[in-house]
Amino acid sequence: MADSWDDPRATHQPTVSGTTDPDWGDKVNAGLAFIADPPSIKVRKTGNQAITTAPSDVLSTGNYVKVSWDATSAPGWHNTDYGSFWTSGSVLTVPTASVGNNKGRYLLVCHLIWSNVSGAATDRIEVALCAGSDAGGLSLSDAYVQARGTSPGVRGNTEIVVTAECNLFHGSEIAVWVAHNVGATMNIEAGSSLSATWIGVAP
Amino acid sequence: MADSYVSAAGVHNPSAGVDIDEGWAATINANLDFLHNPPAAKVRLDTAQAITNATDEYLSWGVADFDNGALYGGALWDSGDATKLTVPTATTGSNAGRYLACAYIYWGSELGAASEFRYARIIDGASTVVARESHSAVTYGRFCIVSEVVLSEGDYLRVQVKHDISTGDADVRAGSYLALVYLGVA
Repeated sequence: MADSWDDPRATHQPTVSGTTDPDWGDKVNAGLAFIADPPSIKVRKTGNQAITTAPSDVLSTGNYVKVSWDATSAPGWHNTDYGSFWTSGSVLTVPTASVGNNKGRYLLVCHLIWSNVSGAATDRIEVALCAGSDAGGLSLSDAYVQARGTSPGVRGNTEIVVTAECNLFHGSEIAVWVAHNVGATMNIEAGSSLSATWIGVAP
Repeated sequence: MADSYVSAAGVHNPSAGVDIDEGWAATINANLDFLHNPPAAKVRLDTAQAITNATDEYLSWGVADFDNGALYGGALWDSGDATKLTVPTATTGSNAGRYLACAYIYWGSELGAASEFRYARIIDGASTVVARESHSAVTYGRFCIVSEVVLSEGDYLRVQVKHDISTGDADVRAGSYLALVYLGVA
């Protein structure tokens, strides 16, 4: 496994000794490599996932289900140099670094493609992009909702993009919850995706 | 012209010797400059663009708010080919990698029935859909489409829009934009 972000100044202060510490040089190389190609993943769906209609209040927590993911192959990706985010299922997990740290600000982007079903003007689709450190498996709680998306007056071939920037730690989880009240089962279709990328040290 | 990204470890391994390698130090400096100010551009409509009913149309951008591509091999936007943002070819290193694309589409006041739609999508090259927003035209439309996408040098992105509002054309308003910024090595 490659080194994660590990401040080179902790190894050597060039202005102090005036000599070059090879360990410091290695840290500089590793730090640049980490920033240029940081922890990152894009998972996607290769098949459909049926989402049943919510007969009552579409915003009721109990009506949401998690979106599951199938693959990281192109046009997805998975940089495992700093640990693995995902092997299967619906939850991504920020890996624990072997050297340095993977915690920091992450950019999250979710793109959901819904099946070609039209609803009434009052029907809607709801999406909640969640991330955080929850021992309970990342429940649908306001504490973990980073951003929401909606599509009022559902028209066939609805597609929704939801994005967020948030502070995550080793072991933090990322998941997408959805609900709708169109009077039929709808699919989330192949091609839908979720990406997560480290974009900087948290303030 | 500035250098694009080059692996510093490929130039010099400090563990092999205590002396700073001049080429390695220069690469470190260039990479820091590149990562601090990576290839990026934002283009927008400076006037509304009318979209014909039931017709896919590419938005044709009128002005660049910023475009630093000249540092890394050439501008991302060419007013003579105004629908595209193109990853320039580097003179040293590479501009290929993961990019963040963001399109903001501000539809005009034309509304449709609940059964009528508007959509906007980011297209990679000739026809690959990167991401799309599609909703009923029953209410006002403001789409923000974001995607991380792997691009090679010479690849380009465009924004394509369509609607089926039966009463006629619908505008995409001035201020709508497409932005592209390098995020990292793929």
